Amino acid sequence: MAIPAYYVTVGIVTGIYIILALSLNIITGFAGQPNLGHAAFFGIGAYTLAILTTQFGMSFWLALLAAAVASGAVGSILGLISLRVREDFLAITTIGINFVVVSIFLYHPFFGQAFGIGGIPAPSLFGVAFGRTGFLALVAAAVLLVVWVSRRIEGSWFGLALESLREDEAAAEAAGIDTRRFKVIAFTLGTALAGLAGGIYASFMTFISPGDFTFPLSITILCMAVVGGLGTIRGPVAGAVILSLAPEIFRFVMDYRLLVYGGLLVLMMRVQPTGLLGRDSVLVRRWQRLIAHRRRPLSAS
Amino acid sequence: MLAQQFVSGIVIGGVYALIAMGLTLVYGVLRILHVAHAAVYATGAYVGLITFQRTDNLWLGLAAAAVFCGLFGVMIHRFVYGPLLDQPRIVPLIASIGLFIFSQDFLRLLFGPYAMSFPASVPFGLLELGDAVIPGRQVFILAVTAVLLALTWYVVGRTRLGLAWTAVSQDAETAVAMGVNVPRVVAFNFLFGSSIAAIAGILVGMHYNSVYPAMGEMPAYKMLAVVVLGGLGSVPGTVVAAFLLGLVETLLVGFAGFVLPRDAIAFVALIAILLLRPEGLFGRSDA
Amino acid sequence: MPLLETRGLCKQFGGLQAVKDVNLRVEAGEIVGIIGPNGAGKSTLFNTICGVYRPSSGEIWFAGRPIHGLRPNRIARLGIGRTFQASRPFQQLSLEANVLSAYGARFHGGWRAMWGRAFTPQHRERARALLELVGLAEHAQTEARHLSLGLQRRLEIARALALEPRLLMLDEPAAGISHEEGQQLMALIRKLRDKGTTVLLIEHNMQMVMNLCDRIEVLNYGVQIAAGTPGDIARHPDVIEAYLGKEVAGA
Repeated sequence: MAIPAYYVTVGIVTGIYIILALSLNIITGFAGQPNLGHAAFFGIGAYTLAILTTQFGMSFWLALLAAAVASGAVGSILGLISLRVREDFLAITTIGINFVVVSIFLYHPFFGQAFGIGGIPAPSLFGVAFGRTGFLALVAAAVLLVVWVSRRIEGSWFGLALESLREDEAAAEAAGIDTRRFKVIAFTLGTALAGLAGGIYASFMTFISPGDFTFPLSITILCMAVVGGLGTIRGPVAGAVILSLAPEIFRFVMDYRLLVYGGLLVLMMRVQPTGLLGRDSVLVRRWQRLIAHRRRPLSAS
Repeated sequence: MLAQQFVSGIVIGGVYALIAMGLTLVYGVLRILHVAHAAVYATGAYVGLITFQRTDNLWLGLAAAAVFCGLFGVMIHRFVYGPLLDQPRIVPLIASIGLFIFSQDFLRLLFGPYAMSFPASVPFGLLELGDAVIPGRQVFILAVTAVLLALTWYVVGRTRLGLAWTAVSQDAETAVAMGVNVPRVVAFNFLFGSSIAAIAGILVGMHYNSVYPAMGEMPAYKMLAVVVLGGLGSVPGTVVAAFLLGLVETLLVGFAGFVLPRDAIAFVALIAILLLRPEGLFGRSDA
Repeated sequence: MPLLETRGLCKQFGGLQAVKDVNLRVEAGEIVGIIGPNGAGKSTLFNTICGVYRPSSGEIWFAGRPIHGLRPNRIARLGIGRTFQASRPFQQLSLEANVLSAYGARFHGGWRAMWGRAFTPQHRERARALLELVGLAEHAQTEARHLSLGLQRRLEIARALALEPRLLMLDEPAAGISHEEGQQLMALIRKLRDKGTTVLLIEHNMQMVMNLCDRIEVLNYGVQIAAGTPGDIARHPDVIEAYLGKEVAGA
């Protein structure tokens, strides 16, 4: 293939971030439930695939499915917790889940402790093992899947129910919406998709360790969704692309990455808390006005 | 040995109480999870250490850190939280996390990524208490903690500002209607809580003889667990939860060779307790 | 058989008995008002009927079946639409989406149905008709937070009506709105009743209650102290006492 390996790798990593940001968006953007431990579910997916392929000789595809299921299963437990523990308490609980999951990876021999798990095989299709380009195609397909799921949610009865419960849970109940059921579904779906991303990541890296799934990653994912605009689809995608490409382009900020990241977060919250491309964002309004201007002469004629 | 561990647990728990106090004070009136409080704490350790290195006076170090961080706290409210109070709850939380990451990296760029030692000598010698032999530093830390907790108890329970704080935290609207100057209460909150956190930073730096940029990392989130266990916004609850956690951590790690790493204990306890009592260990149950 | 009936309904919070042995009967087609001084337990009674609180004891029957212990969304889908004392529309959703969210509850049962498109022309037409009924059709695409309080209350009614309820429960619908808006509200409630909806409302505005209701129930300290037509209630000595205090009633 003509594309240099470096660009392919950047593309794959960006794609994985898009999946993570969009999957978090289902939980935090659509359903409005805080989740500051999304990296834990990414990790559960990665470890599930790693263990099933290396220790049980399961095929990649089956293990990938299992990764999504395992992650979604733990996510549904978090969903059940969210019925009882709310708002700030829930936010802290999700932080706690991230710390606990990582420390289980770190302390339990079954998960390889600090050494992690290596030798994770690449997937193969029709007998041919995936190279970098194959992975890029796989990630692209997964991104499309997650975008498709998000679009199916947006504007469906399910999506409308999530938005109602985000706005006001008691009022949503009064409007006949089974808020408990939809919360659990949102958590299950969002975490299962994060598990899917984790499976792909594990196979692509061939080696994973607990440090890959710590709390700062959860914050990074949340940042991407928030900077782009929670509750929309374009927002988290744009946020993931911007925040994963920026350090690659501006190499000189590499050393100040966290400084820039943190500063950017504070600035975004102060200036445009709905995100660059969220509802009500200045950019979006400008764009809509521009389009309106262009269209007017057409409709007049 | 048990007594030794116990004292160690009390020392850690006391420091936890000092840090968590600021979070509780802020949560009580603003309902914001002030993650960046841990950055204030780390900054306090550095200001204390630098002042100590220049002047060789520990008291001056404590004072400088308290003043500097008190103002830092007030600025955080003025420029970050204040303008975000009308936004959804997640907005100030994210801003707080951003500020924390920013400040932590700022410390790293300023002072380098490595740990600096805190070689302060203290005006106490070894203290023998039954089986336990307590090093002078721990005695000093215990003494300062005790004084500060007593001060907090006095300020919150006995002064006009403290009473105003209680009024605002219980029912902000009524408090306003009764003429409580809320902005002043809030500013005082940040000043007081941040000063205490700064001193806690110095104490921890002395306890482990190391000050490093990421020292706020674990307290940032673990203290949130303490505040939640204490019932979010309850001062006595926070103190009890802090001491409990300090003791449980030290005793479990020291004796049981517990299967979980020390830092996960707080969160396991947190999740377990929240499931049983969603309003925290000492929280008021409304329904 | 009454449409709604409570039998010996009690609700306690800790030591506080907020609702005590209330036996309420609402016949189909009636407009029934619940009045009483502040803290009389009216809103608690409402919230217990709607499933927000679980009754401490007693039973609630609606359309011939017991509904006590059911979750609020079940009760809503069985045909009880409600509004809140402090108006609670979905602030960041359009008026159309507000109404459709409740309308959609009927599709939530099945896994396939819940993925169905909400904003089809046919469903939007339905939402428009409901907004039309409360006089908000021209704002269909506006976000609810841009509405005045009076309009937000009407939106809440439209949202409740999207459930196609047999019983509409309004918690102080006239609080905080102008006299003119109050008149429009009364006209709307009468119109709904004429279309076959039964209405149960809590209201402080006496003029509205007296003009609108077929029957009135009076609550004080969680206990029913009187019931009857507006005329009966206005002359009832216990009611005068509850509202004006003992001295005046005795004088």
